[in-house]
Formats: sequence, structure tokens, C-alpha cells
Amino acid sequence: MRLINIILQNLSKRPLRSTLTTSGIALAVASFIALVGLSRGLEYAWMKNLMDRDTHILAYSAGSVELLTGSMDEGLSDALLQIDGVRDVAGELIDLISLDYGLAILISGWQPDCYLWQSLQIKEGHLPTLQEKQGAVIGRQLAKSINIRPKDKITIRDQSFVVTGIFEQGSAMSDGMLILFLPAFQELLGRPGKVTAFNLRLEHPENFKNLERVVKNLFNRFPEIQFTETRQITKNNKVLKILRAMAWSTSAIALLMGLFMVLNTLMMSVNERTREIGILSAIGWSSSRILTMIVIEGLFMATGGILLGSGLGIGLLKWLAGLPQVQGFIEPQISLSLILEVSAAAIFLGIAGSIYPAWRAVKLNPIDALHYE
Amino acid sequence: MYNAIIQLEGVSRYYDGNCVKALEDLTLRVDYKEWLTIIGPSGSGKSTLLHLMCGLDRPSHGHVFFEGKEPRSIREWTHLRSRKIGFVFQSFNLLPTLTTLENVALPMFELVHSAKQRRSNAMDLLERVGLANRAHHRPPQLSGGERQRVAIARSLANSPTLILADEPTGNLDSSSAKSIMGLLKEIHIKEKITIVLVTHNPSMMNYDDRLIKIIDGSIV
Repeated sequence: MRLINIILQNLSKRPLRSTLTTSGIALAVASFIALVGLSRGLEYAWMKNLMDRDTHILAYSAGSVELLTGSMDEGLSDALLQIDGVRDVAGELIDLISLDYGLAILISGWQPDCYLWQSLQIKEGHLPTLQEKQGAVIGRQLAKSINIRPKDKITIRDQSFVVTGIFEQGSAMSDGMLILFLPAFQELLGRPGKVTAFNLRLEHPENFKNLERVVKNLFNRFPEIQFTETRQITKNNKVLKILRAMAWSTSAIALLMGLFMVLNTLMMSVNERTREIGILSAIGWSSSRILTMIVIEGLFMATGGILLGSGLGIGLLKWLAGLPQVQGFIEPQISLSLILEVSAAAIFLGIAGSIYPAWRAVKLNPIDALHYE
Repeated sequence: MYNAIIQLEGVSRYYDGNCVKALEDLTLRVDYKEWLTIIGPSGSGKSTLLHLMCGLDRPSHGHVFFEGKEPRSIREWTHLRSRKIGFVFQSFNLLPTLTTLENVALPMFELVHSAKQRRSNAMDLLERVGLANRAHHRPPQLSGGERQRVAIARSLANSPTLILADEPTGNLDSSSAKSIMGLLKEIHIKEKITIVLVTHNPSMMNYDDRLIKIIDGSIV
């Protein structure tokens, strides 16, 4: 007989209570994975979108909380190109627009001759030619959602555009976008000569020192513009910081509730087993062994919750990311580090929730425990 | 070297803020290999005395020595109970969800780290008390006499030098009671284990080397 057998028997003596507690922890773990996975998914989708285009630095209005609200003169691209180390500059106008289909989608307007078009992997049709001023290309995912094929027309704010091709980049945000020529989009939005951001491609992006030097020169020359390296773009964004904080706070609350469930279950369990604990002490079981037994019971429930919750959380995250309202914005991020983080949190709460009941158990006077009814 | 396994000096035990007296200024010595019977009416303090002898309870005043040393903490007493003291309760105090084999093996967790060894040792003890064929039954499936045999086997788990038995036949019929007393006597003689037995039944007084009587918390 091993200690583990006694522990499993203790848990199985109250199967409903043990199951409910484990389920509570599982829900906390699942919500952590889903919420944090969603916020990280949004960050990852954005970052990958930029990396797919071969953009090394994104430039946008300094002080803007939300990127989409920024506005800069399109003509700045010539000045940006003068900076040593900058190979290409592509102005971009971005906005979130509701279509008649009831979907809100990201639409991007690119300068007709910029490098960004070359980064698109056209799967059907072709890129719009310079003559096709109302031409557009659409991401595979969006095309599927709204059932659009090459040569179909799409109406945006009463203006008609012709889809010339469908592209597929392999990332949620990219494949959920519609891309027009910049002048047509500027006319549509009533923002002539304006862009939201500039995409910068550098000459030697692999050289970290070169990257730093270029960014420093850009900051000095254009203090009114924020320059962020692609990989850092999500860290500095204030809206994403708020989303991250909200995801973490909500998850923390769920985990705290899980902690109280473990505490409550084990308090009740210890109370019911007072006499049994007295017997164990009377026959010579040390306080540390009794304490270990109760803490391991808590750990068992936490582990069960982690396994169940991980499966639930991953399923929930994938389902949420597949919802039409969310498609095109989020790429579900289920990394090993996320699972390990939540596992560590759940194990901590398994231990924390069992320490007090265990301490109470070993503090009992053995004879009082033996006489407990 | 000392002859006394247990020594109580000026021990008193009160409850409810000194309102209820269980024992008063009691001095007692128990020698090695002795069989001591403690007799007295119900409520005289017999069980309290036994509990003080193994640290299940602490005296309000006085000192309790085990093998010449005074254990100061719960931890020290627990250490002694796991290695040197076995206890047999009137109500058996077996864990109903464990088998008899598992109940007997329970005290061995502190000293025997191999599960296989614990199982083997427990089976040997059950054979000694004549219950090897009931190893995989649970206490509710056993008679009163059988449960007390399991409890005795459990008390022998770590080869103690002292067994304290609190009314071990209190819940048994006369035939089972006689059988249990015979088993304890056999253990006392063969293993040379000191036994302190508490009873209020005069028919249980024929096994001892020494008899003391307690009335109203004092030795008469």
C-alpha cells in the first residue's frame, strides 16, 4: 500500500465534491487559456501580418493610443526614404469598415507601386493593374466568409470595387483583409493625401546595431512620428496593453475562485475526517506526513483541473477564433509557455488551498480528534 | 540504565479551565516487561492516565517520562508512538475504507519505506493474530473480536516496547474478550512487551503482574 492509494481513496470517498472542485479549477484554467490566448492571438496576428510583408519598422503618429486614429501626410514617404539604411517606404491607409454583410473588416490602401504588393501570394486571379483603379485583392479567409470570387464586385460605402484576385498569407489578420489602391481608399474615406502608417523596409535588417542606428536617426529626424520595430509593435501598443491587462485580470479572478473552491473542499474534508486524522496521529503518523497527504489531495485536484481545463481552454479558444465576428483579427496562440504558466498557477492554488486545512489538521490535539463525532 | 519505561510524577489533568478534575497529583512508575492493570469505575480517570502515558493528551501539571526522558512536544510524542508505543482502543479505531492488511500497515509508513515490505510485514502480523485469511476484508465485514485482533496486530506494527490497551474487551462478548486477553498475554510473554491495560471488568484482572486502582483521579 502506498500513500497515493490512501489519497485516491480519500478523494473518491466524496466523488461529487471532488469532481466539482476539479471542474472549478478546470474552468479557471480554461478561461485563462482562452482569454490570454485571445489577447496574445491578436498581438501575434498583427505582428505576423507585418512580418509577412517584409516590413521591418512601422511608423505612425506619435502619441496615438489607437493606430487607426493616426493620420500623416503621404508625402513624408520621400523624406523617410532619405534616411540612411532605409531601403523602401510604403504608405498605408487602414480602417475598420462595416460591409453590408454585417461584418466589420480591415481594409488597407496601398500605394500603387509600393513593395507591399510583391509580398502577397496570389492564389486565384491577379494583382490589380495600374489601370484597374477600383481593383482590389481579398484574403482567402474573407473571400470564403462573404463568398467572393475573382471578378466579383464588392460594395463599400456605396462605391463598387472589383476583386481581381484572392491571396493567402497563412495568417489570420492578413487573410481577413481587403486591399485597395491608396488613392481609391483615400477618396472613399474622404482623406486625400493621408495615410495611417508607413511601412519601412531596411537594407540590413538582420544587423541589430544597424537597426538600432536607423531607428535612432528616424526618431531624431521625425520626432512627431513613432517608429517601432515589427517584433516590438505589440508590446508598445496601448490598446493591446489594456486588452492584455483585462485578460489577465479576468483570469486572475477565475483562478482566485478556483483557490477558494479547493480551500472549501479540503476544509470540509478535513473536518469530516477529524477522527481519522486523530487515529493516524495516535498510531504515530507525523504531522508532516498528514500535512503532505492533504496537500497532495489538493494537488491531485489541481492536476485534474489542469488536464481538463487545458483541453477545454484550447477547444474554446479555437472555437472563439473561428467565429465570423472574430475571424481576420485573431490567430489563436496556444504556446507551451501559456500552458506552463497556467499549470504553475493552478498548482500554486492547489497547494495554497490545501495548506490551511492541512495546518489545521495537524494542530488538532490527537485525543480531541479521536473523540470528534 | 533504568528500569522504568514510564514514570509519572505529580501528574494532574483538569478540563474546562480547571473545573473538572480527571487526575490529581498522581505518581506512578511502570517497569519494563511488566503487565500493569489499571482498574476503576467509569469516570475515574483511567483512560486519561493512559492517554497521558503516550502523549495523546498533555498533563495540566506534573511530568511524564518515557525511558527516563521527558518528551516536550507533540512531535516527540508522535515519534515515540511510531516507534515504541502501540495503542489498542476500546472502539478499535480502524479506518473503514482500508482493508485489514492496509490498516495493519498504516503505522509502518514512518519506518518502512518499501510498500512491498510493509505488505509482507503486515501479513506476518495478521498471521500471528490468526486473521491472514481476512487480509482483504474491510473492518465493517469483521466481527468485534476480529476487529480488535486487527487493532492488536496494528499496535505491533513497529515492534513497540510498550502497548497501552484501553478497555480492549469493552465492546466484546465474553468469549471474544477471553480470546483477546489470551492474545495479549501471549504477546506479553513471547515478545516481552510491557503492557498497561485499563479495564473496569474484574474478570480481566487475572493476567497482570501488578494491579492499581484509581478512584476520582487518584491511585488508591
